[in-house]
Amino acid sequence: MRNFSPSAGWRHQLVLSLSPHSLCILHFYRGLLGWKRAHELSVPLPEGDGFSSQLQQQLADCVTRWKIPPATRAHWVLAGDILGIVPPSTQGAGAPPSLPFPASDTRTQVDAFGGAEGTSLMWMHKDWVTEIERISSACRLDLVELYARAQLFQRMVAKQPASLRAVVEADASDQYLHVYGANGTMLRTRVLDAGDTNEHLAQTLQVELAALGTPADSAPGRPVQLTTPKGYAAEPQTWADYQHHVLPAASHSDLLEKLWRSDQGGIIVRHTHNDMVQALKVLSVGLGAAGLAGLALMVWHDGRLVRQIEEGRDRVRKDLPKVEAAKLLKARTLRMADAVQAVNTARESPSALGPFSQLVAYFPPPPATLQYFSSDNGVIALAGQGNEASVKWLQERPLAGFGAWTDFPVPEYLAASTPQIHLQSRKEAPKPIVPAPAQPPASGASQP
Amino acid sequence: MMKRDLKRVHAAHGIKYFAFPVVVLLLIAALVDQRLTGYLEHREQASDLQTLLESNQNTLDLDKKVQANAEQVGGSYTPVQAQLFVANDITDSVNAMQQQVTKLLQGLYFDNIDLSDFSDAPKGSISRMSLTARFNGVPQQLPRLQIALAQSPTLLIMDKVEIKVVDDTQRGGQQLHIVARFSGLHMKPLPEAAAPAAPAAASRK
Repeated sequence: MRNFSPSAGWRHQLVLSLSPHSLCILHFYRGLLGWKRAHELSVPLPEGDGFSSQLQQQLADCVTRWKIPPATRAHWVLAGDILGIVPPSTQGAGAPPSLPFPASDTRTQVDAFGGAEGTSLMWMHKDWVTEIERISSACRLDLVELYARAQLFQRMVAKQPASLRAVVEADASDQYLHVYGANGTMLRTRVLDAGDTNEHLAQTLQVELAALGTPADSAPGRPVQLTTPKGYAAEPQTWADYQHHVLPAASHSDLLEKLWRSDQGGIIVRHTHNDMVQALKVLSVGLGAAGLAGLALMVWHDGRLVRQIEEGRDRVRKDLPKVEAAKLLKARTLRMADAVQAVNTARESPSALGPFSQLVAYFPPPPATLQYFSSDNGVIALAGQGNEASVKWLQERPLAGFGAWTDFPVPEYLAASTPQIHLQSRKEAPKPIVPAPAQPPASGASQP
Repeated sequence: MMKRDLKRVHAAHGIKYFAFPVVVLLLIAALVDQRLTGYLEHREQASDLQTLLESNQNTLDLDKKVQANAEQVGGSYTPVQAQLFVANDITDSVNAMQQQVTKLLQGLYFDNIDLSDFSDAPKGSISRMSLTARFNGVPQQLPRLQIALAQSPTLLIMDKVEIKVVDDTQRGGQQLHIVARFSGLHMKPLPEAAAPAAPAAASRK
């Protein structure tokens, strides 16, 4: 009984390329950043009776060694000896395809690459499908799709305009011929014989092209395009009828990965796109559930907010008298503090008349007379009549808190009387308090 | 692989299944849109209310300290209250100061009193008003002026003074022509004290 794990197909996939003498296996693993190639291996296979058993053995070894979980999906790419192509019928669109076996013995799939018109048919004998299905099942793999090896080059050749395109490719043990139509559809794919090189290859190609008939859109000015690996077509006269290109170097694994990632379809054994339908349904339900949950959360929180607002308003209303009283008291206190500070500052500032009283008390004796006095912003000025002794008297007696007398320009209204006394003095800044010295000053030091 | 399945789902079912999540999203968006405006308004209201409640709580928490400060400052304020010109409008205070200066100078028998250059400089809730007074007198009046200023019930400060000895053209001899800048302090009446609030802040803790 198979142990089916639904997650296996989501996280692991195998791509297997089977040719007459080798098997190439790619293991893809899906991580957080998408699919990446986890393992790859190419193993030779023997011809004859041991082919199938050896194929199964090699595949089973890889499955075990790489710990491939059960029910991992397997995509097989098959060479022309197993999966063939029937070109579009030259007898009209309604004509039945010319399959080499009865239709009931084959599995077919339209090659949809070239569009609706002129499509080829991929076909495979049911015995081969059964055999590959058996091998896959024995290795606990789910066979999902079978591709033609010619599909590896289908996109590449479709980019270049030509009525017919032939691609010759080779691996370590075999070489293959693929022929494509103007719209990129596959017309023929086959495994070449070991001796099919140069002249033989040219003959084989001519036979194959002749078997296909003349394509409807071929024209004399558009020769057949031939793409081969480097080193082929060494003799130009042999290949003069072809437009030759060198096959770009690319590993078989890269081509397989490109085909696996593309939208090209093969012969479908199991439909997998219903998984995507299921995923879209789950996504829709998930989005709906998440959205409704978010909406419900918002409604619930909205209800809480409404209750919070009502409670808050009640509390504000209740606290209002106390808060208003507190604010009022704060405003009163601040203004009272401002008033006290302003009055104290004003009281501390000296009156402009203070120095006048001092000056009158210490003014020199006659003939000195005071004619002008001003006090503004810590600067006092005076002017008056007198003599040198009067000036000396004043200079020897500076006012308390003021600096030494200096010259003062005679006020204009006194200019005519040329007063002898014209002095000014600036209020001194308060002296900083300095600590008393530890030692008394030395005897003989002058007092300030 | 993914592209292949997308293509096959589209070929088999059209855009039906791709539209499902979009339709669900649109429905949810429409439902959310109906309620979002009200919800955002409630959030803002709740946030504003929370800020107001916190502010009120801070005010109530600080009330005890404010009361203590008010009592302390009140003691200092009472004696200085009368020294301020208190009026709702500063013009009233300027007029009162003008009258007081005039009365003071007239009371000391100064002549030709002229007041001009009124100005005010607000600082906090107190404005310092100033005016320039021009008047004539004799030297003996100046000490009396100084004493009168010091004893004035409302604070009057002489910021600067200029004294010139000029001829007295009316009575003969000489007299003093004095230009002085006086200042006083203006304050709006204090807000009426409310009934003492209960210590609500303490009960909330």
